[in-house]
Amino acid sequence: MTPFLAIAKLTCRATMRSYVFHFLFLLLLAVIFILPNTIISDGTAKGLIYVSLKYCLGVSGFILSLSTIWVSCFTLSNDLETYQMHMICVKPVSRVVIWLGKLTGVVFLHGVLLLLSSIIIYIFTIWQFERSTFSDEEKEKIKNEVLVGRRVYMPEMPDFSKEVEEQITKLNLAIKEGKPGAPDKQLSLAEKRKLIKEIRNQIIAKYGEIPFGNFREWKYKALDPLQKSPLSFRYRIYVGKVSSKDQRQTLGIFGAYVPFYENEEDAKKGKEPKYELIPKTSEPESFMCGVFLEDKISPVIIRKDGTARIAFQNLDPEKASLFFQPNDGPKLLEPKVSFFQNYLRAAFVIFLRIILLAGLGASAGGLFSMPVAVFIVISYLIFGISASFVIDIERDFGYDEEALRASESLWETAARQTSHGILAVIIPMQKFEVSDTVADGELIEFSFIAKFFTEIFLIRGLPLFVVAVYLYKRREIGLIVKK
Amino acid sequence: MEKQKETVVKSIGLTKIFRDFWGRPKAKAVNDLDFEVYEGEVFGLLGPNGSGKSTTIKMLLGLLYPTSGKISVYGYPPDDIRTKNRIGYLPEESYLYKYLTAEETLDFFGALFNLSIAERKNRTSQLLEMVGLSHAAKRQVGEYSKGMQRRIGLAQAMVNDPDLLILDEPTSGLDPLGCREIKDLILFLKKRGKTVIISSHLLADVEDVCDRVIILYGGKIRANGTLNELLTISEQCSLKLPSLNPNETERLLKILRENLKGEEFSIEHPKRSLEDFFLEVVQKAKNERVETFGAQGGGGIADYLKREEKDKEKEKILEQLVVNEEKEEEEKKEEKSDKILSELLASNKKEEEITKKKETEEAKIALQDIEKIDEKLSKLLNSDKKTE
Repeated sequence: MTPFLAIAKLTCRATMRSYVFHFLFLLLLAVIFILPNTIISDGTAKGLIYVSLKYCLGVSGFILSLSTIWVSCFTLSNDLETYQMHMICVKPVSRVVIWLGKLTGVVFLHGVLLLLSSIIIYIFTIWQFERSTFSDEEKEKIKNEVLVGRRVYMPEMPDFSKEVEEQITKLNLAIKEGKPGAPDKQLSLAEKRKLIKEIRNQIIAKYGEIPFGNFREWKYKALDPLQKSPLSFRYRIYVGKVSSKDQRQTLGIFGAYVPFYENEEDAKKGKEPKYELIPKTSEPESFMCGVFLEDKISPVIIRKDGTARIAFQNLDPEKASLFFQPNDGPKLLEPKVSFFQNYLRAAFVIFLRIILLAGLGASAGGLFSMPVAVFIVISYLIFGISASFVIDIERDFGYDEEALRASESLWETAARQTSHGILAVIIPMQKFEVSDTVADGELIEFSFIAKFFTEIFLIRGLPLFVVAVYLYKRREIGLIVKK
Repeated sequence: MEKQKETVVKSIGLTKIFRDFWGRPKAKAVNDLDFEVYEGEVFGLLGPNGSGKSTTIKMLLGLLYPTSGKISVYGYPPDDIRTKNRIGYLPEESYLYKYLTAEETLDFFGALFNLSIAERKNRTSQLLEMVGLSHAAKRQVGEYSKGMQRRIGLAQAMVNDPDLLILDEPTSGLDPLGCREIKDLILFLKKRGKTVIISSHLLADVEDVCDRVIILYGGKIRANGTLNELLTISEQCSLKLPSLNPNETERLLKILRENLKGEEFSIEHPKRSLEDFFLEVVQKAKNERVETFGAQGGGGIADYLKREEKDKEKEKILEQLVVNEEKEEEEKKEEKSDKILSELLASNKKEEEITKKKETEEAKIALQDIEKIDEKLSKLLNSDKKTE
């Protein structure tokens, strides 16, 4: 243990002497102390707290991640290149201990920095909330929407592949029967693929669209039937098209299925109530398009089986279509934990991310020179981002494997399969960015942390580290040319 | 019967080929090297640049792996932890953490040997004293001169009281005082039964301390043996005489010229080495208490390194006590005969003193006699040649 601790301690000291670390540390201080005081929000009290929390935590996490990558690459590769590693390797310390000692030093130092910056950001957020001259209504809004940890429920998605299949069957039938407008011959495989793709895109685009006067209903599952406190309903409406430009006010009515009993006896007997769609307001409500909005909903909408249904009618004054993006939900939010608990979970996720990045950096640093190691780690993360971007497209729109296979070209299949292959080894670090989640008052689920730990840390990270340590152990240190 | 010495390092067919990026052989740095180093030996690894010395040492330390062949240290592969526990290594240059102070450096390397805090503290102060850096213990190693860095490098190599000390160019960058101290240290370690491997270009240093050397060239052993075996020139001899006056020298030269017949020879005054002269000057300055900020002469060997020697001394004393009792009676018996002997010796000494006086008086006469004998001899030799 003594050699391990000595190496970890020395790593901390070496890190604190690095100029890059000094620069990043100063940047971190600037983010913690200056950024919250210079941020311009949307002018609302909630916006101020939201933005300062989101940016401070996000940017400080980013700086700590950058610093971790740099330092972990530097600590091993520099020691190797300056032959200081020769001096350690000839002592009775295994290279595994050296590697772990270096990693621990980097993780410890950045863990301490994370702890300090998290505490400062937390105290500053609460202080800002308490000292500001917000109205009670505004304070209540912040408490309910930002300074809270709420479980998120997404609406059930329809089976797009089934719809696509139905459309294709109809088309084939039309071709067979020679109906007017239908193609005059059977489609080739390439044409069929193209057509399936077009139909699928149309269906998805249509799914998000609510034409003027029409209703849309969303069904939610797995809600807590014993929930007593009000739920939140979070949504973003686009008018005309899904774009941040040319958005304006629109009109519409939200409604929910509320239980009722036809007679009192049924209620006394505890019979299953009937549900009726009740509009939230008697008059159409006005909504600002292109921004997230939140409403309160009574928990009575949750049925015994944990489901709930919410509906919306488009009453746009210009009779334009309104759009709800599948990514935005709309989400149903259920308060679960306090802000402090949620914030703690966020800090823990950032800490896990630091460990992973330190592991990646140390893996590369033990095998390559400093610039190559940094380049490899950054490339690795970029691969992770781009590969998961390709995968996300299919997941977000509810594509299934079978439908994709039928519709895409050979190149697309190759790209998708490659992305899947890359993601089997590469860690999509951006998936674990939690500052948005915390600032939105959304709960960082234990299942999310467990997923991070098992899928990312144990299944993908650990084998990678084991291979890297093995190669580092076998490396002929004497071959390295001194700087 | 003499106890058989343990083999510390054993190299069989050791070969190292360096390859390029594509795995093609680039250079054969070490070629089929067979050698052994025994316990308590000071072993020199000599050779010009690129002869394979450093590669051999790196393989010995587990920093490089042999392409073929085998090298073992204390019977284990070089990268075995059990081996490393017994090795101390001083590299060619000081690869130390420049931001650490001398104290912190030794503490860090002590920690790598799993030494307790108290032990590290104790050894650190003793080692700093030994290498003459106690006054600079709190200074960062990066601020040290090259010589001071070598000294702290040596101290870190000794922190575990190693059984095998590997020194790569140990005296490079050191002043003569430091060189002498290192040589003294090596000899001291040898006395304690430790094994030392030295790789050096400074042949004079190697000559002063090594028992056995191998000389490498092109990755192969070109010479191997003890210094006596390698350096003795059996075809020549040298005489050491007291200082002669010019007449005496001339006469001696004459005799030599006549007898060696054209073969080259020389007579000159012996010189002390520059190192000895330098050390004398420094010692003088020290005695005059001249101030210096650089490395000072070492304070002698660290106490913890002397432990075994002290133990041996204690054992000797105990053995002597036991033996003394047994011998006491015998001694009593011998006492009488000793008295008689000492009386005889005293009378002999008196006689010797008288003869010495006579000798000095007779010295001049003797020289004249020698001349006469020489003349006779030369005449005889000439007459022999003529008869032949």
